[in-house]
Amino acid sequence: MAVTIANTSARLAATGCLTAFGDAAQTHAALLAGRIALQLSPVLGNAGDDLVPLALCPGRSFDEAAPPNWLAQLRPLIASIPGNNWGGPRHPIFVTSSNFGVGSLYAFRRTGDPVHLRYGTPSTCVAWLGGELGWGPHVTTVSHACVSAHLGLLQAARALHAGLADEALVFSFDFLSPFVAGGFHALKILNAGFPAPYQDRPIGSIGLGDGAAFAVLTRDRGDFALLGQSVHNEMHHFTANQADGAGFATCLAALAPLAQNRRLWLKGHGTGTIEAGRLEASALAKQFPGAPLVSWKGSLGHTLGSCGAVELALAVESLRTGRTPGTVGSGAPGFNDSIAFDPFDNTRFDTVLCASNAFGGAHAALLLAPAPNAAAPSVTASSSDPVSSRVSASSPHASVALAPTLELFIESAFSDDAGAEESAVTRERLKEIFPKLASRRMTQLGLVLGHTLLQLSPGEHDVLVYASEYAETRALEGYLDSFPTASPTLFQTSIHPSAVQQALIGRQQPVREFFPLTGRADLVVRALQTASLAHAPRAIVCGGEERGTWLLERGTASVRTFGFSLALTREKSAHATGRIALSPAPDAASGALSLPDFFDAIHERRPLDVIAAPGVRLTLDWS
Amino acid sequence: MTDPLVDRLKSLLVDALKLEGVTPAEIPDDEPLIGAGLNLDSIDALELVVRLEKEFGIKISNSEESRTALASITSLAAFVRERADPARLSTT
Repeated sequence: MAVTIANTSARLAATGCLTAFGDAAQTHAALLAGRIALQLSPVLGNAGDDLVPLALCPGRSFDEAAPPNWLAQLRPLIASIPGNNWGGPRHPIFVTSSNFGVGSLYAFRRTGDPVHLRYGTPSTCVAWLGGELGWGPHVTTVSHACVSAHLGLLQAARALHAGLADEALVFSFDFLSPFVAGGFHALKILNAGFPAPYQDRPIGSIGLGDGAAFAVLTRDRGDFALLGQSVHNEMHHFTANQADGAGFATCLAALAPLAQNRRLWLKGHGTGTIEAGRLEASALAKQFPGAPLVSWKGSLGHTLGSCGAVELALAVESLRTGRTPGTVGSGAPGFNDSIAFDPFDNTRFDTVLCASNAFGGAHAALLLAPAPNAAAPSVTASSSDPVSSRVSASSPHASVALAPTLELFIESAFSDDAGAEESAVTRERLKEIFPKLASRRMTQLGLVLGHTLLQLSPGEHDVLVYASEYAETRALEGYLDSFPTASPTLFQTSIHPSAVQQALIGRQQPVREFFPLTGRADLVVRALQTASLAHAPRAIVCGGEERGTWLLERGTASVRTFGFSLALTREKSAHATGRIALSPAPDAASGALSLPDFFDAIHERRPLDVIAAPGVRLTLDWS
Repeated sequence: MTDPLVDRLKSLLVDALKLEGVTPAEIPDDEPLIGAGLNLDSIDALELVVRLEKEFGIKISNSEESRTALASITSLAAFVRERADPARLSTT
């Protein structure tokens, strides 16, 4: 599969992280000393529960408070982020997480206290957090399980290249709760058999950890550089990878040209699940023979959507100090000889590859190195990249006053307005579209969205952007109702971006890049911006919501079910049926375009000309 | 004469895994539950494990143990008889 990685390099002006050990320096020192943060803890926080390995920040209660008790933990980390005006028009933020405030939904279900609902959805949680921290409105929220942070880094780099930002902040946070521990326990991959095993043990266990991190990306400042980033989504199975490791290999191969003639050490994902660990170690050793491989999740636990940013900050700390912690929390023998168990001097290397993987066979990797003293990474990409070319012609390096107009052409559009249709009716209407094994587990949102998406025949070269505020509401409700014996299927299905994965995994259809976004008022704009910055012949933007039941009664779910999919190109073709343009508008101009309103315009083929987000005017015209 | 526990397990399978168009009687006693035949996968296996915990008070702590238990309906029935809370088993 051809994989391009244009527009993914950037400088790192600053990084930092928070783990159960403390900040990046404290965590790095603890890892060098071989300390293990994971401790056996009751899975739902109650005496008598099964014990599972968790690494919580000291002093933080496992169950959620209102407001969430992790805010106090985050404040010192946030105070260490250089600069201000974050969330301003030239300083966008990419918030990445898998959990957001979902522990608050569990707290609501357990206590019935509606105060918890204010923090329970990704959009309300990020809005609350942004208010607490004084962020401006230019925030893109990304949620793709354990590759979330990598996607934020990729988007931030592209925003810099396109001249949409002077600096970009990637901010990631994931704090554990009974919601997530119960779910992983239901998947039978949390047990007391940690530390994580390697080849001499028949039973696996991962650990989970609190984690948060940030990275400030710039075009031309900073001691470290992201040389390139790659992603790949094999869409093979929700919890398994292709048995031959092809998904890992595809992602890594994309970085191989950039890694040529470099001396690498490798920071693997290394959750400790036996099969994924074996495949990852094998793929890394094959692509980068002789490079030592380390993993730190056996100590810190898996920090989920934040792991890519947390481990990036620790890799930077390793480069800064010249010492790389070995694989902690896992006993030898390893899957192969490349796994380093002892700390080592990294000054004989010049580059680090950091990899992460996620449910659904999602793979992400990046190359990190000390920044060269020579010129900064060029803003201008290849001449085949119209967005970057256009920006470089105007003003690439300065604090550009206005962002460029981004233009996308609609090749095809499909929509399904299920409204208040009962789930069972939707199932009867659409189930034949999907393979039987897939359809019996599909949610109403998965069916409706998949119905529109598959009409575009997504392919392995496509970039896919998915927008949903509430996403898998019914699965979320069902999962919460299943406690204390949590349902593994509903846990899996409740995770954003399950609806798209249901459709694509059912067809075993890989896609190159997959950006699941969430948010509220500016979600449409963020999705279209993401699509326009991708470097692919075609981008698909899809979105949808699912009508809730008891969450709807609490105003925490969509009132209707709908889905749409748009095939978009950056060059106008004879087949184009419409045009979407995002152009600068005064930041003070207020306005918003909600996902349901955008859907209605698509469904009815209506034109739009609105202030769709602060500083952004959206026009939609149909041929 | 059919084994009441086997019948109960087959009904539980159809219900827990939402096997549309499959009746309990159509599930063979001695064929693998996961993979072939019913075309079930690892997440089905886990869901079934959870339902066994709820229904019979059985604890299965890892996926490797569940693989043994779910080899077939016959092996599952034997596993349940060996591990189940007797009070819950006697309702069959």
